[in-house]
Amino acid sequence: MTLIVRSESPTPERSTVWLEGRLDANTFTDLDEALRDITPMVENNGTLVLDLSQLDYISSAGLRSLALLRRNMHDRGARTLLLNPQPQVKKVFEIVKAVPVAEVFANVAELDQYLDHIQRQVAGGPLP
Amino acid sequence: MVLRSVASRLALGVLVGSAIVLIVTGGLLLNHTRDQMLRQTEREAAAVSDAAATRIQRRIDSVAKVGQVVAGLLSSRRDQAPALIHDVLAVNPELIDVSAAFVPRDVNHLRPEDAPVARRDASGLLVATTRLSDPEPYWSTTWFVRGLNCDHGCWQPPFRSAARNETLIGYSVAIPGKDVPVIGVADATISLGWLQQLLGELAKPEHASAFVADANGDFLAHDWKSYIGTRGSKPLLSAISRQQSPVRITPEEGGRVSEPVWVYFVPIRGTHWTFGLSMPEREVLADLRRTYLVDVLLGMIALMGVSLITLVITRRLMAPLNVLADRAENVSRGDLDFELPDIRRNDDVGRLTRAFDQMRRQLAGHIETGQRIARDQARMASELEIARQIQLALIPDPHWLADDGRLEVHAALRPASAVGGDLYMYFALGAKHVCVMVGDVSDKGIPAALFMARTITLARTIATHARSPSDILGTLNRELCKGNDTCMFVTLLCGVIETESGLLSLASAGHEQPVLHAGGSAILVDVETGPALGLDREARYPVRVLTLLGGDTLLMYTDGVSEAHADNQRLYGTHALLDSVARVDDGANPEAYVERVLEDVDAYTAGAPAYDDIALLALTWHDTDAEGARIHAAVHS
Repeated sequence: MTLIVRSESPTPERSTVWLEGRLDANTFTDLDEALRDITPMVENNGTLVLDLSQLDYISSAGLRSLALLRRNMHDRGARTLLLNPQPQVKKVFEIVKAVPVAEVFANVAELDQYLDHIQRQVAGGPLP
Repeated sequence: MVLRSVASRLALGVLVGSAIVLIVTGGLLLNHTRDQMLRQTEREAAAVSDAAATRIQRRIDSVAKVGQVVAGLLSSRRDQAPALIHDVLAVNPELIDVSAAFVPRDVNHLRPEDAPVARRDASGLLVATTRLSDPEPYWSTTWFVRGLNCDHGCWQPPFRSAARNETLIGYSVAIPGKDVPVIGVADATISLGWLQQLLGELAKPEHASAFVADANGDFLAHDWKSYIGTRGSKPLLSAISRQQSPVRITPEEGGRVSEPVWVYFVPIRGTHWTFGLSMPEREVLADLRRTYLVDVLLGMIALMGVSLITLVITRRLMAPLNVLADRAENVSRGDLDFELPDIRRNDDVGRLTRAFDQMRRQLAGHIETGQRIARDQARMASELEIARQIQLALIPDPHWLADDGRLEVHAALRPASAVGGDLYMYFALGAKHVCVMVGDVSDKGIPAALFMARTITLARTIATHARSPSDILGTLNRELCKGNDTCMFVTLLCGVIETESGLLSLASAGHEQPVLHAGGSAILVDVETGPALGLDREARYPVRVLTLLGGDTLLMYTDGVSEAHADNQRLYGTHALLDSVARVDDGANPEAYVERVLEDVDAYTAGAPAYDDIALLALTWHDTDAEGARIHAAVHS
């Protein structure tokens, strides 16, 4: 019934936050509070990655929290990407679609590939 | 009972503690005083003994002098002996007799002049007699032999005179001769009666008894007359021989006494006699005991006084504490309005009183705050109850049967708390269509309830202008996205039924897939879903179409059902839900489905408080005439 939020040396370009436990109506405020300190450090065009590999459960209240985070980041021109959700969490994303499925990645390699792609788009380079 | 108060316990403590101190110091004092008293008695006894010894000595000296004078005179006046001793006796009234005994010139021709005796008889008359009539020849007696050897005079052992009925003692001096050293013995005898009388006249301490013992330890005189002539006990004799005065003699050591006594003695000079005073120890210490008892009594009275004063002072000091104790009982009853004792001094009691006063004020503040919070909570509860009723008024009745009886709907809404974010909805669209919805707002409680109210109100309005669930969801989504800064969203399953054909169109905005109970089995209806409502303005919602046959029942529900659990239990899950639905009899009405599912969920969570809101809606198609197969089609709007 608890949620642990960890972050490691956030950089302006890319910060990663690990979520562990359950993200539901009782714990989403913990996430909100933790991210309130982290998000200002992500600059415009930066990327915030939420590693969900240790997240066991997410409820609609948790989804709302993620949707709000995504919107706030989007308003500043920054991206929120979700990494490696467990099957039951991934299923919820797929059903509710509170977060676009395109922003959910199964592993770091996929994520890096996506970010490369984005950067090339920004740079005006040819698409692969 | 009395000891319940601190004051009385303190007073008792002082009393007991002081008593212990008094007893210990009293014991030491007693010991010290006892020694002192024994020394005092010893000094007294020594003084008396010295005085008595001096008096006896003086008397004896006078007798010795007479004896020596007589001996001196007789050395040259042997023939005048009878007249001489008669005259000497006449001028020395203390003497009983005076005798002269000469070594006989011729044993065969003894003359009365050889051993004349002048004697004072009982009536005081002087009688002249001679030793020639003695049963034993006088020149061979030990008395005579001893006397011959006493050039300077010596005392003979005392002897008992049957005629006079008293003890007599003689002083013998050898009579020197011209040609030979010794020609006879001069003897002066006195009665020991005066010695006895002298003992009686002494200023002795009370209970003391005096005695005079001779060189052998025989009592010459004794205050206890029966002791006269007897020999002193062994401990006494050994003490006298060792000159150890005073000496304590007890019956156990062989003393002739009935209780421990102290004996003080001094030798009488010029004799081998000893003067002694014996005093029972009990009597020596009697004064001490009496004094000690009086002291203890006085001490006890003093202690009582001290305890009483302690009691009074402590009571006065503790009086405010008693009041505080009473007030504390007031506080425990919830009564905070009372008088506190005046703070006279800034001592512990004063501080306690001030702290108590402060505590009372703070407590009053806390109680008031608590009451205000309780009132606020009661008001909140009442407002929530009203909100709940308003929320329930937004949704239609749980049960509805279409006029033609072909469509029957039964629904249930069970918020986890007073109000919730789940919703169900059904209403007619024109004459031929009925719209049903089941939705679940993200989050719980009041925000969810308000968003639910907004959703329901918008949905009703929008649906009147639409026929397809896809249109309804699309429009509703765009409306809900407006001003939705909090990113609240609602998942919604929307179905539209043609009341003539049983054709059912379904569209889902991120909602759980419905369960269809048809032909005795339960299956999940695979509806492709669009995003939940309120998040993505551009979202689109595909439609899934199927035809209901008679007896088919569609069950729409929220995740309060599929994710029901208690504590760390596994989620209830869609498989359990399908099992639950499959066990409902064919042809049952929708109410049976709703009740069965709720019962099973409750049994699964075993009465644990609901974790999430629950909404359930079952619709049953009762048309038994319908023919043909279900047409499954997906229409992308």
